[in-house]
Amino acid sequence: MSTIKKALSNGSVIAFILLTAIYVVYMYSSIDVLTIENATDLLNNVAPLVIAATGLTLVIISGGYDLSIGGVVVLANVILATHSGTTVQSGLLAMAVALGAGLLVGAINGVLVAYLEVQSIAATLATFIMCSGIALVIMPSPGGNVPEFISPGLNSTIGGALPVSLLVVGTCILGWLVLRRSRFGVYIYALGSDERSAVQSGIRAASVKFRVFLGAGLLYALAGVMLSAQTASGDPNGSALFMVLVFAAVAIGGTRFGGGRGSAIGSIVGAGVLAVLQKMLFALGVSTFYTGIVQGAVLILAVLLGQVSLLVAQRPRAAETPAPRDDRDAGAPVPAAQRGTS
Amino acid sequence: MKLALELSGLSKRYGPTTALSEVTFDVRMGTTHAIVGENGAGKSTLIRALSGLEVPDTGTMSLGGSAYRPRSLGEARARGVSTAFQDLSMLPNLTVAENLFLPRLGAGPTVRRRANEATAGVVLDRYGIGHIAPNREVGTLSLADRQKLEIVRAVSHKPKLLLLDEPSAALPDVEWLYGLLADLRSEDLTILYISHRLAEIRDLCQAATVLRNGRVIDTVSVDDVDDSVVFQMMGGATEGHGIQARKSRSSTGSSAVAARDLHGKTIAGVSFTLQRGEILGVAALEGQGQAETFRILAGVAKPSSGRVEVEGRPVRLRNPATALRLGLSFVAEERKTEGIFPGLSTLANVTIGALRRVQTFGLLGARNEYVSTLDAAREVDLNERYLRMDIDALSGGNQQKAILARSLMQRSKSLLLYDPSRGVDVGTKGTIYGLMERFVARGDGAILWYSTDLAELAAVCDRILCFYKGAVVAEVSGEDGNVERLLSAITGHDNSRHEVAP
Repeated sequence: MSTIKKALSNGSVIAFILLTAIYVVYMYSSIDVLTIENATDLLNNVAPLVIAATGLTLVIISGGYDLSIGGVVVLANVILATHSGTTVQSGLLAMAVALGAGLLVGAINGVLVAYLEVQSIAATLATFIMCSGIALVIMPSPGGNVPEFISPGLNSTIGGALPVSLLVVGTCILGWLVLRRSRFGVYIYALGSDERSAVQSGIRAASVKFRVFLGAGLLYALAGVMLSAQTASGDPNGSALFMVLVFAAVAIGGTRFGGGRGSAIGSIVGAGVLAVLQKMLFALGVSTFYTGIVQGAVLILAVLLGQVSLLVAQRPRAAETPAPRDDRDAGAPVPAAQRGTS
Repeated sequence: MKLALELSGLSKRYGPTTALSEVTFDVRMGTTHAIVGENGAGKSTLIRALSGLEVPDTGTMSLGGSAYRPRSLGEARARGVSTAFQDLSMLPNLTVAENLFLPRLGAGPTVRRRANEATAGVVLDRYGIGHIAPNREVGTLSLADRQKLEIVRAVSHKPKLLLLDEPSAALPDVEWLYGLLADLRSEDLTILYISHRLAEIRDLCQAATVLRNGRVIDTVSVDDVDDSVVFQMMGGATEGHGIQARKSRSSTGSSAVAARDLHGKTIAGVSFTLQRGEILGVAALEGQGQAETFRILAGVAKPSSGRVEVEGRPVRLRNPATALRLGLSFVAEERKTEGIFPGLSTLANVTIGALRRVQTFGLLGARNEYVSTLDAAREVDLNERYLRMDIDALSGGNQQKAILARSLMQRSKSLLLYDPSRGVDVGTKGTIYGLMERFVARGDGAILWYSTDLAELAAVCDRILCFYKGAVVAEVSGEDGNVERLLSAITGHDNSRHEVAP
């Protein structure tokens, strides 16, 4: 019983159930769903979202917000589209510059938030706007080409069997599982729960925050690289919707905005929900104009389901909590569902 | 005699307020040294400076003879100083084991969860709290267990200097703490002990330093001074304890609030009647159902069966707003999370429940709001200058006064006070008792009051309900309500409930 309860109070389980349900509908909506090409295509679609959502989850669990995603992604995209040259070496150099830009933006965010104590929304909104501006300076209008090893390179398979994007998604999951079991992982949760208490427990809050933003910046740049593999060209304006979807993926995955609870696994599954949903609607012949409406509705559904299942999970049962000696009594914490929304 | 700690000329200012001013005193090695003072006297700042969380502006500290100037908690720990903080620095979303071993989380390059939990189990057993499972999330523990964990964590670092800031504030009984400290006593361990309870200080400490407004008034040997002298030095209640039995009031006998056979998650058949004009005490160890009873009356929790009557009429308390409309005002135990609105001014915190009365045509008049709050503030002895400050900046005792002022502003007829005097200084306690007395003296007011301090219950209350295992097992009248009698009842050794409510 307690296993089920634990599962129910874990937001990513809801996202996973949703993903399965949508995928089943998708499977019956079209005949060629279960082909390798189709699966690869889906993975290619979802990979950028997965990487960016992993980065954002780190920031949000640590108690911050990060709006610089859109800026970093578009910056990486235009750098690749304008400075790739023709050789593999120059392409690799452009990619290194793109990733470096992500680190730099992350570092600026980190210094602002961790050491100068600027509110994270304000700081990252500023860097988002700046990056968007710089992207327009680098590339005033859409166009250009990204290096071949990125597109189609990152969209293809290694040895004809293993899609690169599967490797990317797998790495994100594995990386998260390792992080979750590391000291740094515990620090992130501690910080997001209560910064003062974290400091009083010996955690160096500023350093943890800085590193979170740094890592997130790098991940957004990687997401930008993967996104460039999809678009194959540069677009200095094409990031706002992407950023919104990243936040949606994190929300569907059950991570608590405000910090302290959640997991990147949930966000990754959340990204999957959004991507499969898009495919399913397309397969059902629904006009793409309606995609946003359905995605929004699914987001609300996921959050509501998350709250309901939390309530179910936290309802004490007679057998588990003997009436007189329930030592939760006095402390009686507010249910996490209520805390989560505040 | 060797000195463990020497403080000389320590000062710390925050903007216009002086938290510490020229603090100078010595602590002898191997002793337990008390720091006493009212709320806002600078005790917590001193603890934070010694813990490495604040760097004093001027002055020097010396630990075991060598200069001590920690810039982080880590540095303080490395020098053998560890702290159990008053505001309980456990992280609710981490497990007991993780909290215990932060920030190192065990030796070795990776975090070994299982190994840590096994080690934590040993540590918890060693210090007598083996009933707490190491893999449980701290947020699901009772306040008392969190407090014990906070203390055990500090102790487990094997400090040379142990700082205990209000270690007994959330403990229903001090047996465990006394046992632990007796067990730890050694020539190498020095303890700085902060408490508002003078009885504890007499039991545990050899010397005491009295702080007032950030200054050291005196350092005295505990055996040499009377309580009254200490109170006088603290600058608070010179007339003594503040616990003064003034039970001349007579309850009018009409029912204000009645519980009829309430059942719930932790209670089974709770019945009692709170009469107009009385202070009805509730005595219990932690987790005997008293919290749920209060929360039901406040509209926060719902009973599975049974009913609540207000002025003889059955009511349905759907939510706290309903309870407030019916005149029931609840002051919760956890100020930090349930009572105050951090980030708002004290003024806003006081008026938030009574905005209807301070508004004109739907708009808040700043002047109107201020003026109508002044009366309530005076009533609870809350200094006017605090009204303009952020409530976070106030000491615990002053926050508690602000919350009480809010209840007054709401013109509630019945106050449900859940341990309002926990962790507040003697002076503020006196103010709270005075406020309670005046409140019921008006005739139509009534107070249901839970306190972990049995002595104050016995001194102030007309009647005291004793909760045990989810039921009212005894009712002790205030006059003969001596502490031993209460103690035996709440530990289940007395089943003589004199008057069973219909």
